[in-house]
Amino acid sequence: MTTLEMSFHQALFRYPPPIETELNRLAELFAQTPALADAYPPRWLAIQALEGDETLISDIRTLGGPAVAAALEESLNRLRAIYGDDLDVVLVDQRYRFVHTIATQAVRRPATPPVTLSDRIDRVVTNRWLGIPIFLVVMWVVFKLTTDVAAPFVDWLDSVLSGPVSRWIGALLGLFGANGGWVESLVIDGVAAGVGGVLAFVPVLLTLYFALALLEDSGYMARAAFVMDRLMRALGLHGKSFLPMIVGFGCSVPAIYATRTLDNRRDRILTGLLVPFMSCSARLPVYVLIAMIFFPAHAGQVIFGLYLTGIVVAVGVGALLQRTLFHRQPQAPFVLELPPYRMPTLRNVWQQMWERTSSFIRKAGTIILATSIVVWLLLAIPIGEGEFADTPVDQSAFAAVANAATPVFTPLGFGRWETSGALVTGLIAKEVVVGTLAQVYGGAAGDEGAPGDEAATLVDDLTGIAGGFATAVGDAVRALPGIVGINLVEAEEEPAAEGLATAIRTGFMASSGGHGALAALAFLVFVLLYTPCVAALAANRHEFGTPWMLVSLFGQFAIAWLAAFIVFRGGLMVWG
Amino acid sequence: MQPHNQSIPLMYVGQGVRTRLVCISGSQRTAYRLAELGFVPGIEVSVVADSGSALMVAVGDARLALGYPLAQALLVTVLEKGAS
Repeated sequence: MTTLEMSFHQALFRYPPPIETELNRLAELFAQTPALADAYPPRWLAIQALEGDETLISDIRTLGGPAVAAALEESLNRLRAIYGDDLDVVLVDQRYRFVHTIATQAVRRPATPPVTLSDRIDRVVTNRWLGIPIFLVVMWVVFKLTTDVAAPFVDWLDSVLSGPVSRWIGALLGLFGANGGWVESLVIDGVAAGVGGVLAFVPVLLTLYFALALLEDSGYMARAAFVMDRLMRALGLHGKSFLPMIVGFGCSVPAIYATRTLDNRRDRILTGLLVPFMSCSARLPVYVLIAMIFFPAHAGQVIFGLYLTGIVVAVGVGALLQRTLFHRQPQAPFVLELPPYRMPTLRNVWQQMWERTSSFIRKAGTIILATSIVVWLLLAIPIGEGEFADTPVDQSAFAAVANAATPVFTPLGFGRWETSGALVTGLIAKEVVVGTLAQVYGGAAGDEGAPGDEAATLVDDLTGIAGGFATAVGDAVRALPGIVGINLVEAEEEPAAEGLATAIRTGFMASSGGHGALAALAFLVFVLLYTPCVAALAANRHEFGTPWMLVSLFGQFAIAWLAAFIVFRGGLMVWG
Repeated sequence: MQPHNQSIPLMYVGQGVRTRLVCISGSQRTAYRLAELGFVPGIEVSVVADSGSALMVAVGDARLALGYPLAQALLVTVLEKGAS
């Protein structure tokens, strides 16, 4: 086998004579220069140098010395006299012709290439008229999955974390004699409420990542890019930019880095600016929480609508940027390889789900934990009356700080210190909005159902947890037909976390003059569109520089404010 | 190579028609990029799907999405049915 490869390389494959002459000359020279011969195979190095590989040419100059550099320059000049600037093209072309010749001789193909199954699927899935509707249906199923099917598990996990787990932590603290004091308050009201409130949404993320992994592994994702190319043109981009956008539904940070696959800087920056409008998975817990409270029967539709709103706003902003900041710069041609359709493997899908979910859980353990503690501290420090760790929430430092930001949100219908505080902490990471809401409103609502009152045994707790899980599985299975429109589950009132829900509902009612649902909708639109989290801003600055990061920071805030204003005020005019 | 007057841009041949690539018009840069993707003169290509702004093209065993401007640059001759 090796001799065969050797003979191919040495005997069959030759570049045109003028190039061969220079290659041999250079290869011989490189072979005699120990510094170069030790580092690279001489003939390979000669080919790369003639093709114009800048890194290797500078290596040749530094390692080989002036004589070698001069020889290379002479060779290049002699060849440029024959081939002009297209020397690299000639070299590449020669290789592909060679490969093609061998392939045609060695590979036997049927006279008429068979139409593969992939092609037959593609004739339907990527059809000019059916492509986009099919894509929308696929996305609809994904969002129904993440809401209806995951919701029972969210309820279950939430009740486990806020019930038995908090009780156990309380009991554990009791063993060390730390119960009843500010330590217990920090651990239960701060850490358990904040981090737990966010962790409860792990089932939603698992489902979302499961769906995304299925789409990626099956090969549909690349088709979606192909199908969406036409819409992406409206944004001044092409289908290839759609892939970072899809990644953006998971998290903006990898999506911004994924713009590196695009061919020119204009496309990269424009895509990077639009990516945060794709609703990332961190925003999903906020939607689920608020939508379940205000629109329990239509949560799926509301959330799907938010995702669509993000896309529509991206289209508008893209069209605007394209005609203003970017109007002189042409875009790179659209080329994308489409893998054949494959059956996704369980192992791959699970690996992707686990990788992404575990990075979310790690975030809960670090950044969300830290913010929860800071929020707890601010809530514990009294500004008006009260003493440390026993402050009425509206007298706390948190309320004072958040109050400063509140007037900005008053015209939008959610001018309350609780929500504006949550939005400010959401800049750290969007899912923190949920944690903060749970902490601020939980303090008010937690009094009735304070943990530790019932003398539940460990066995009671464990049977309760297992029973709750079984119910959740049952609910999820019954929700499955609902994905295609058959609704077997009656719209029932949420039994879990009713205290928090009531507190949030009352808060929105008070801030909006009785139009709680409308204000909640404006709040959701604001959460969808406002300034990306610090991690996304850092990625943006890293890739595109500080000026573009500032464009993203202030631009999105302005857009979010305007959109929420239109939703709330417009809604008031229609229904008010 | 075939004379150019028989060739038409791949854009206009329609779905499922088997064609042979004759040459690539436009800049050498474009030709170079396309050659790297397997578009060498003499190879058989056909259009699998049309999204309204890009073509899905079959080149050998690979399937590539190409924007209309690139599909315009590929000049092909239509192969008779049954001929190879």
